[in-house]
Amino acid sequence: MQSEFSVKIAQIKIPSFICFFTNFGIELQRMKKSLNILIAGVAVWCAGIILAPIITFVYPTGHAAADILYRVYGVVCHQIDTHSFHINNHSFAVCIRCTAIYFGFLIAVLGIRFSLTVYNKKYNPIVVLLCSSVPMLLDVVCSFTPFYEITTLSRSITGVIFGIGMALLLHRSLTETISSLIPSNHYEIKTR
Amino acid sequence: MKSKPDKLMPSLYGGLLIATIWSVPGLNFLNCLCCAGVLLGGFLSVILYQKNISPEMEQLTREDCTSLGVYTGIIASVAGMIIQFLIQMIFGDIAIDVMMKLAERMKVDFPPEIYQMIEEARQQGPNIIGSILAMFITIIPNTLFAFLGALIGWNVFKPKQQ
Repeated sequence: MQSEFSVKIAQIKIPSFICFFTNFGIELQRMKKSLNILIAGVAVWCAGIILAPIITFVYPTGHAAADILYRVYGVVCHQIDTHSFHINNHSFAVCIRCTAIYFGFLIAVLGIRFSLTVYNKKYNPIVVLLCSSVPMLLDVVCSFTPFYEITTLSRSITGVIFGIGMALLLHRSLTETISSLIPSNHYEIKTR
Repeated sequence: MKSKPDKLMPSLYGGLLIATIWSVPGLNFLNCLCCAGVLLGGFLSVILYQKNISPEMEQLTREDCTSLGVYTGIIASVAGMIIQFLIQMIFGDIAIDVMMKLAERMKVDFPPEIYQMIEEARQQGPNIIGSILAMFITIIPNTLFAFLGALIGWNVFKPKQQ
C-alpha cells in the first residue's frame, strides 16, 4: 500500500506545496528523512575507514583516535596490510574488498536518494542477490586455483558490485526500519 | 488467527551457525567476505522462522525479521564465546596454528607486531576475562550484520502483496 502511494508520487510529481499538507507529503518526507539518516550513517562509517590512516599520517607517533578506529574496524575485517589501500604507507581501516563494498553501498544509496524511480522500482531479490554476490564469490573461489590470481582491480570491482546490489536489495527495508524508529508526531507537527 | 511461532529456536540455530563459523579455524575465513558468515546466520534464522509459519497464522513481517536478526546476533556472540573458549581448552592453540598455515599458503605477510601478539596469546593460554570482553566487542558487529542478513531474508521471503 505504502509503495503504491510512493509510485504515484514519483510518476505524477505532486507539487511540493500540496504534498506538504497531505499524507503523501508526510510519507515522502518520512522516506526522505529516513534515507538521509541511512546515508549519514553509511557516510560516517566510510569516513572512519579513510580517517584512520589520515590520523596516523598526521600523528606519526600514534593517536588514540586512530587506534580506536583500527580496533573497531578490526572486528569486521582482517585488515591484512597487503590487501589494503594506503595513504602515505598507512593502510585503510579495512581491506580493499570491504572498502569497495562500503563505498559501493554509499554511492548506491546516494543515487537512490536522488532518484525516486530507483527507490520505487521493484527488483527481484534473488536475481539481485545472485548477480551481486556471485562475482565476488567466484573471485575468491577461483583464487584457490592456479589459473586465477586476485588483483586489486578484481577485489574493487566485485566489492563495488556487491555493495550496490546490497543497497538495491536493502534500501527499502532499511529506510522503513529507520522510519519506524522516528516518532510519527514529529512529521505531523512539521507539516502543520 | 493463530499467533506467530516462537522466535527463539530460529534465532538459536542462526546464532549457533554464526558462532560455529567464527570459531572453526579455516571456516572463519568466510567472514573475510564482509562478514558473510554472520549475514548467513541472520538469513538462516528467517528461513527457519518462515518455515514455521502456517497459512492460518499472520504473515511474516519486517519487524519479525528485524527482531530475529537482533536476537541471532546476540545469541551468536554468547555462543561464540563459549565455543571458542571450549576449543581453546580442549585443542589448545589449534586455531592459531591453522590460521597461520592458511595465511602462509595464501602468501599473506603479517607485520612483526602480529607475530609478537600471537606469541603473547600462546603464552597466556585460555583467558575467561578476555573471552567475555571479546564477546562484548563482537555483539555490535554480530547484531548489525545478522540484522542485515535477516533483512536480506525478509526481501527474499516477504509475502507478495507487501
